[in-house]
This record gives sequence, C-alpha cells and structure tokens, in this order.
Amino acid sequence: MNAINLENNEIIQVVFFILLAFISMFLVLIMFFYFSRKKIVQIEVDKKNLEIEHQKELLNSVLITQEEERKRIAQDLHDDISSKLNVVSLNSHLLKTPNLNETEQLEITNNIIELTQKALENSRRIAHDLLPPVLEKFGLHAGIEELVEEFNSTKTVKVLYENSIDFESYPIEKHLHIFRILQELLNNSLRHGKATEVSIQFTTFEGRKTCTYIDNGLGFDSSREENQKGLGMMNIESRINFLGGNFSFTSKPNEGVKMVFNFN
Amino acid sequence: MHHFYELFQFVILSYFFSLLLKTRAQLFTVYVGLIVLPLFLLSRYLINPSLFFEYNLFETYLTTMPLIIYSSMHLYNNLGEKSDFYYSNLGLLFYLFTSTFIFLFYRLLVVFEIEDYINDLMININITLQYIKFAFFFYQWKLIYFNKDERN
Repeated sequence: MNAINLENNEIIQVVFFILLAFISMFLVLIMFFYFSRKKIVQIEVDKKNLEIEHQKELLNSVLITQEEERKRIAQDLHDDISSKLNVVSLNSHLLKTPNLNETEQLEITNNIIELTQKALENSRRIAHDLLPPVLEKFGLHAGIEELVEEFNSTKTVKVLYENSIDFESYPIEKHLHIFRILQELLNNSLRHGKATEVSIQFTTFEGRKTCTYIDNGLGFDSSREENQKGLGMMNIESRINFLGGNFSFTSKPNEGVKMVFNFN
Repeated sequence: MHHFYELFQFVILSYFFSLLLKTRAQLFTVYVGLIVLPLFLLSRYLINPSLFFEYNLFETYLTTMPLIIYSSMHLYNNLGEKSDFYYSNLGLLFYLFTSTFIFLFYRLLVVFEIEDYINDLMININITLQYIKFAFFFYQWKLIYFNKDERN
C-alpha cells in the first residue's frame, strides 16, 4: 500500500513539473510577444516621427529659400533698375529748366536714352535669371544646353553634357525642377568646389530617367551630418521628392562630388 | 553527476548572458539568479543530503527556466536591430525548450516503468537536439569568423 502511495506521489510530482514547465514557458512566450509588439510599435512611431521631422525641415528650407530669393530680387530691382530710373527722372526734370541750349539738351536726352536702355537690359537680365525663356520656348534640353554654354563661356570650368532622353513628352512643369537642380549643383561646384571639369549625363537606367552629375572639385565628407543639411542640398532633395525620384550623393575630400538622381 | 552538469550549465550561461544583456534590471536579475540559485540548491542538499542521490526535477526546472527567460530577454533587446550572437541564442533557446521537456518526459517514463522501450529513442532525440544546437553555434562561429567587422 505504502509503495503504491509513494509511486503515486512520484507520478503526481512529475506531472506537476511537466505542467509547471509548460505553463511557465507559455508565459515566457506570451510575455515575449507582448513586449515585442510594444517595442515594434514604438520603433515604427519613432521612424515616422523622424520622417515628419525631416519633412518639416524640408518645408522650412523651402520657406527660407523663398524669402532669400525675394530679398535678392528686391536688391536687384533696387540696385539695377530703381537707381537708373531715378537718374532718368532727374534728367527729365533737367530738361524742363529754361534757357537750355541745343548741346545741353542733346546731352541730357542722350543720357536718358542710355540709362533707359541699361534699365531695360537689366530688367531683361533679371527676368532671364528668374525664368530662362529658352526653357519655356524650347524645352529642358535647350535650356540645359544654354546653361552649360553660359558656364563654359566663363572659361574657368569645362562642362560636358550628354543626353539620351527625349524630354518633349515630359511634363513641362517638371522641366524647371530639373533645371534648378542642375543650376544649384553647377553653382555649388564652381563656388564651393572650385571644379574645373563637370559632367552631366542623362540616361534611362532600369526604366527610369536618370541623371548622373560628376565634378572634380574639392569635395567634402558627405557622410557627416552637418554637411547634409545645407540649404541648397535640402532644396535639391525637395525638388527630387517632388519629381517622385530617389537620389544618392557621395563625396569625399579632394575627390569631387558625384550625384545620381532619377525621376519619373 | 547531472546536478553538477545542470549547475555548471546554469553558471556558465548566466555569465554569458550577463555579458550580453544591457539594461540594469536585466543584469540585476541575472546576478541575483547567479548568486541565489546555487546557494538555494546547496542549502537544500545540506539540509536533506538524500536528495542529492536522486533525480531531481525541481532542480532541472530551476536551472533551465531562468536561462530561457534570459535568452528571451536577449531576443527582445535586439528586436529590429542587429544582434550579437543572434543565431547561437536561437539555438540555445531551442535546445533549452526542447531538452527540458525531454528530461521531464523521460522522468515520466521512468515513473511508469516503461523507460526500457523508449530509453534509446529519448537519448537519440537528445543527441539530435544537441546537433541542431551545435549547427546554430557553428553558423554563428562562421559569421563571426568570416565577417569580423560585421557581427550578426
């Protein structure tokens, strides 16, 4: 009787431990899933927050650029046009003065003609800077060709431009974005990079229109955070976002800059 | 002998996880377990030495369960990022889970006195499980050895 009891006891003990092991492992599993889920959700939220933060920065940079552009236009108008028109108006008043002889009159009119011509020329230049007319009339290809020519004519930089994409079917409002990106890149290469050779290539790669931009300038460490937050780069990024494309930017000190971006 | 095996496994793996785990609470748990558990087992045998000579399920349970918890903690810590010793941890967790049940069921068979038929089978299963664990370890070793700068 005792022996049977002892055996029963042992069976109960074993079954108890098996059950205990089952239950505790099950608990560990449940807790693991519970906490994991929480953590994964938290990670997702953090990621989204980062994205939103980035979008905000882009928006901010757009606003800042807009203000700066306005400032520049205001300055151009003030320096190049207002000042000249001022002198024109002064000269016109001079014409009113009595007892002017012919040579004086001629001198004043010549002055006025010369100044109005300069003002006209300046206003045309300002308008051209704001939106190159060739872009609207002849499309992106011609626009870039003109841009490249302008840079080549300075003799400090040699720009190579190759294009195998037909931009005629491409929506006209997107031409300007690509044009501005290249303008910004070229300006950066010249101003900060002191580049002497630049190559711009448009190709179709894996079914997407792709632009490869390479210069041989000073370059910088593109892996460092503070170098990625420049206003120009942010603007380029938001334009590429707008075009529905991706970009990769690589640069190392003394190895120039390489930028590849694609767009739809 | 298995008392020493289990205690040895517990101490070594606790030390291993004490190196891997990060947060204070987790490390605290590991250290407390590392001190309290062996002391508790030792005092049990000192009070009742006869326990030392029989197969002890309570001890098996106590020495493997914390390891399973530590292992899950390590998995949780590295959720969504690159993890150190990821594969060896998986192998270990797998082995701890399965071997615990093997030992418990083996004990059940012994109690029912039918171990003779299934004894070999149980031993074979355990050996296979060990092999699977070592396959994980080997894969981990390969990863660490061949990508020294990029641990997985």
